[in-house]
Amino acid sequence: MKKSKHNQEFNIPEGYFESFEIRLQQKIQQENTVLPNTQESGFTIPEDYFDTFESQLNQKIQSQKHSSKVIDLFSVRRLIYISSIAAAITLLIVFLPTTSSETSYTTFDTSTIDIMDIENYINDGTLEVSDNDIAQLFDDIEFSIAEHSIEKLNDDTVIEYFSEEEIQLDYLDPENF
Amino acid sequence: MDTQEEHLIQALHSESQFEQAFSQLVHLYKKRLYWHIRNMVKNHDDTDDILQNVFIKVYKNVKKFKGDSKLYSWLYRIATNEAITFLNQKAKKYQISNEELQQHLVESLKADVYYQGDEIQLKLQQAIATLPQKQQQVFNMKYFQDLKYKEIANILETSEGALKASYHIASKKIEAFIKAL
Repeated sequence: MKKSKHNQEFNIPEGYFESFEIRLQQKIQQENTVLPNTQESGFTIPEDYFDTFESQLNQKIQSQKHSSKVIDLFSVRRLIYISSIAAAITLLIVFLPTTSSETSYTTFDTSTIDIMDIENYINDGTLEVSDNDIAQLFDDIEFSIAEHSIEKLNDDTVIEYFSEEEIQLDYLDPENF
Repeated sequence: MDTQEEHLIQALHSESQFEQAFSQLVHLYKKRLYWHIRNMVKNHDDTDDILQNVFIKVYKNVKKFKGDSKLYSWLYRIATNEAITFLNQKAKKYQISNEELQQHLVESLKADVYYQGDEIQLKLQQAIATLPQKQQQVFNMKYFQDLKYKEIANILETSEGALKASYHIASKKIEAFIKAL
């Protein structure tokens, strides 16, 4: 098609009109993703739902930004494991002289123990720390875990905790994809 | 990855452009993700809660997104996982199986103000509820959302061949269910 006499100075990308229908069709299809669904499934939505969605989401994001900091239970558990190992080693050192020679006591150097060895020891399941041991660490916290043993928590309570708090789940990490 | 998506990811990684880029992302995907979740959980209010949670998790984690997979497949995967987690929690709460929960959700549609399906559409929902979870997902994404097999394969991390087979089996089961009524 020839250009009209009024827009001789304007150029268009090569193949613009040839591919126009395809691009328009794609755009319509994209815009209409909502329509076939409503028509075929019977599901409807409140009026203006999508128009007000962003502002509601924004409010929720802002309120979450000001929420309290969460204790990372996993780190606490690991800390307890490591502390327990350290305590066990200390006890070993204290009682060692009564059962072995004095030389062994003086030559035992705890600084030579690699922290990774301790972690491996924990990961291998060689040491178990009970939930009560963990609970004792929190005796100054308002809700006394010691009184309400963790063992008594049912699955729903735990799931609720994970839902409400900012515990990051593995699937959210794009590096896992 | 197309140029638009590339620009959006770049903007999401930029401190100064993040908020604007996030709004654009919400604008682009809110409807698609809404219907994806709605087809799974059926109820509008639950869908709204889940959709908000999905975007909040995206808000907190999108900076870590390196573009190794398509942005839409990452978003759909978060939405799918959130919806499944919600359904599992609900089944546990009512102490019923997931299959029983599906039947319960479809039964609830009859009294739902945001459901205006006719008899056939309700039967279709009943039929979908009898399918295994994976087949339900494939059927919903293909039939209601009209996603391409390639897109569904990216989201569900499976082969296109397996998806085609799954969709075919699901369709046959639904057909048989409706005929038997």
